[in-house]
Amino acid sequence: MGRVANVDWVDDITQDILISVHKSLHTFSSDRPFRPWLMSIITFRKTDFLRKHYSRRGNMQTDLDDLSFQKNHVTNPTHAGEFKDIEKAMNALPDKQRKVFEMIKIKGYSAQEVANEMNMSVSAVKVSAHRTMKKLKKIG
Amino acid sequence: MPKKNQTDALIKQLSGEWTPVEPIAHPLRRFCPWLVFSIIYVVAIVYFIGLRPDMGSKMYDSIFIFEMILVFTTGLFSAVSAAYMCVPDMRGAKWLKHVSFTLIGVFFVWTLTMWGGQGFAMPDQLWAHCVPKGVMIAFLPVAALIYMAKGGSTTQPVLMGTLSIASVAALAYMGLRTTCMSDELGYIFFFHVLPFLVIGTVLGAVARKIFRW
Repeated sequence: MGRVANVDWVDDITQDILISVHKSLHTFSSDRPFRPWLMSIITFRKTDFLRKHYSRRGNMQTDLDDLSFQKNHVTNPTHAGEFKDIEKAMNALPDKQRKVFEMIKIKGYSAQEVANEMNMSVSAVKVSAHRTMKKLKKIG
Repeated sequence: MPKKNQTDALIKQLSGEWTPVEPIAHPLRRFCPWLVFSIIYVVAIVYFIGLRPDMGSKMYDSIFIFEMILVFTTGLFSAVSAAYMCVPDMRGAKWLKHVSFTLIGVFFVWTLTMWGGQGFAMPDQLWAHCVPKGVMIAFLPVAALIYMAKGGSTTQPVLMGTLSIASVAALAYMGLRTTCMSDELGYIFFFHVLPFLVIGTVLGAVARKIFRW
């Protein structure tokens, strides 16, 4: 497959390739070598994956569980200014609104789960998260 | 159970519900019915519209004949390339797309040469009369070609979309040149070529969605 920038992508790309091979079996001809046919699919799916990744600006995002990123950019005082701004903005939110936002956007709970936990309706949870997101975007 | 038998059992378990797939026909066999259909369709439309009145004298015009042969060859290679692109590895015939794009390039160099020779005149005519004819000539062949292409699994959707339009544009161009009296280069470019360049660009932009698999 060649090299990709992130080893975590390999499983996703491999899965895409295997599904593609399965879907396009009818285009393989037994009188032709298998390798060029497979390599065409591999190159296509790898490029497709990278195109989607960069179009979603995946290279500009990071995982909250990425400890090395946290260490270098969040807890390192020289790089931490922008993140402190976010923390400050989060702290300025009402407790309930902050808790809703943290549960749905950071911890990954569904709107229904947050609604059950906070005794709110699902639509109220969504509205609250949306408003918080808009408020936080203003500091960016 | 020996390890080999375990592996065999696992493979059988995973593939137990699979059924054999019917391989698609050779690209040339898939392409021939489209070519025959498209030529018959274009000839029928040209017959319906009527040949240009000076067609008899045009048959002795070497520049016109060269142009027709060039456009037909370009369309033919573009269609064959598009047909081969339905298979991921193009069955090893990747050179076809280079020939197609070279011929398309030759066509535009030819147009520029003619521009240098006779200028870029625009006649004072009703602009719309060739565009609907072009759309009428191209509509069914392009629909048939896209349908045929979706039967395969292309790994070059943008190129295939572009070459599909190039092949149909070539057929439509021939149809328009044999029915429209105008020989002015400006008119030919704007009303016989440009609409297909626009359609080709649009199809190229959405090709990944159309030919997704």
